[in-house]
Amino acid sequence: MKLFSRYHRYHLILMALLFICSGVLYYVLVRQIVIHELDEALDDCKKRIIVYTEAHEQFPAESPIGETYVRYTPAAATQADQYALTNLPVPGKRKLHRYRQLTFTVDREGRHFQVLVARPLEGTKLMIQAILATTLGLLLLVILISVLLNRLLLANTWKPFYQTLDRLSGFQLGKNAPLELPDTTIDEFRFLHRSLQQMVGLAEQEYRILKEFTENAAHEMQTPLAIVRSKLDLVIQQEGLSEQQAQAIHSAYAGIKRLDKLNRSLLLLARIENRQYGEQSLIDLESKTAEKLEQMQELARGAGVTIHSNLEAAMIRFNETLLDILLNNLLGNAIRHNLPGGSVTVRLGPGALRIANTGQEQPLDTTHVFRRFRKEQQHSSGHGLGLSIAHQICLQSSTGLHYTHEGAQHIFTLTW
Amino acid sequence: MKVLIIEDEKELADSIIQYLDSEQFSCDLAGDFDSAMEKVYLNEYSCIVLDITLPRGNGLDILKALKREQKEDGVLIISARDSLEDKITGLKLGADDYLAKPFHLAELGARVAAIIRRKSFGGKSQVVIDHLILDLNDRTLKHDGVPISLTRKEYDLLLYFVSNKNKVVTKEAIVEHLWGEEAEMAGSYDFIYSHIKNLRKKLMQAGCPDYIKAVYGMGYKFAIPH
Repeated sequence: MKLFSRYHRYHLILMALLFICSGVLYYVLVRQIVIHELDEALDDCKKRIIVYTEAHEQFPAESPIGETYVRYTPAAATQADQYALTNLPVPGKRKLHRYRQLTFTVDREGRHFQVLVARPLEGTKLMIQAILATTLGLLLLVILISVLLNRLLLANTWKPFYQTLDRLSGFQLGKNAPLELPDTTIDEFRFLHRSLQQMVGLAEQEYRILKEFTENAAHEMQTPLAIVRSKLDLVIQQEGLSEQQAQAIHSAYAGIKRLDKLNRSLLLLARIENRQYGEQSLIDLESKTAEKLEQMQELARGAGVTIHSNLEAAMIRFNETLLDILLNNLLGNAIRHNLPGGSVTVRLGPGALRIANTGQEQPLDTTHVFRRFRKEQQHSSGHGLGLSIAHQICLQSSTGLHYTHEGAQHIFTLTW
Repeated sequence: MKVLIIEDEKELADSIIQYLDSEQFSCDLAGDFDSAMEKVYLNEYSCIVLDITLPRGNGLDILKALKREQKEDGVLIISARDSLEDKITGLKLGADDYLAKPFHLAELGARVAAIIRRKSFGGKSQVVIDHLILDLNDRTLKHDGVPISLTRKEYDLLLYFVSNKNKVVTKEAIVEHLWGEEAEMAGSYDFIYSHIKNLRKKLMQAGCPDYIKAVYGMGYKFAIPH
């Protein structure tokens, strides 16, 4: 979930809660005030009734016209004043309304009378509703505006942060493009940017050192390898080598060969990553593939593999050296990791080259297939860099390379 | 014919000299920049095998000096740095060929022989060996004047053997010479067997002695039987 979505969700929920609570609170408060006002009015009535009764020795008339409802009933004893809410019939109408009533006791001519004065709440109901509606309306408006303002403000304040995220996701180590982060006046972001720059700088440096090391190590190893190989070349000139000696020399040759290949592949990878093969040209892939297949024909025959091809005209913008290496890798793999009597099927169309081969039944592990030093079998003479090189070449050339496994066929598809 | 080996790795230089010396060449060795410069100025060589990284200097400077002096010596660069730029720089400066370490001595022998042929035969581009005549321009083979038709691979194979006369050459080296990079993908060198078989058959049918001998477990050897 995005930072803002989460923030806005919480913000809205809290605001809604606040809105509901303040609505309820406001209603209760306003009602309390109104009732308090009524109580004061009723008190006033009470005083007037008492004054009138003392002056005239009789109760004022129970006027049916005014809103105030008055009733006198004889009572047995004096009772304390009592306020209450009640339902009373509306004069002239057959329905009940809410009233606020006050009962108190008046003594007249030695007799107790209970007086009940009541005033309707009905008139104030509308007022309460009106007040409540306007207030809540305003509150809602304020909340809405605050939410909108919040959105705007947040989007604005966090803009550098999102720009940073954007730049980071587009950043790649070893591309020799510095990480450029947006200018900002916010301390925290500045700190973040500074830390990121430092981190990236260090990583970049380490990466470069590692790459240089790989390159130098690979180079340095070539000379001792050359010495060993030349010595073996001399040893085999001797007459009368025993079968055992020949076998041992053979194995030594194979070891040198592997190390040499590994070195060259590591160097190649380093060079591709350094973009030393930047120059691209438009290449006729159809004739290039046909030429490669022609060259591979003999190797395939030796391995007991038949090649089927269906080539249509296709052009590709690519570095010529890299394309050569890529085709060698993919076609060579398809032949090498095959079964005796198996087949390689090459299909070329505009925008896609598909190389399918029979081989071991299990599909390759798609998550690791392009990883360095990944090998299906530990004892295999391959160095596990071929597909990694192919992958790196495609990456640098903005070309897609995908592996799929369909119907016992391993398929590598090149798309551009 | 004199060949100069400019190489600071003594062991490697020794191997090269030992391999080439027994051929029709005589070899000189220069282990550092200064002695190399001295030898280059004092003598004429058919071919100079030149390592680029040297103590107290760069092999490419020797190459530049040679060209400045308008010397005709053929130059084969051997370098641990197998990169396209190095190769192009070397060839642009006038080197005849470029070979990356670690190489097979047989490959070095073939390249040196090729350079010497180019330099010294001039217009007459023929290799004569025993009763065989290889025409380098037409890429044809004659035995006692009778042409023997060879495929492209068979011709290259024969030339490679002839350049490494009396030497055991491994299958690996042959495959690398004839098929190059993509051969590494095959994983097996058995397919060269049929080419060698065919070449031998054609030579024998033309009445040649069996020049090409299989050396058990190792490879093949081209030799003129006594």
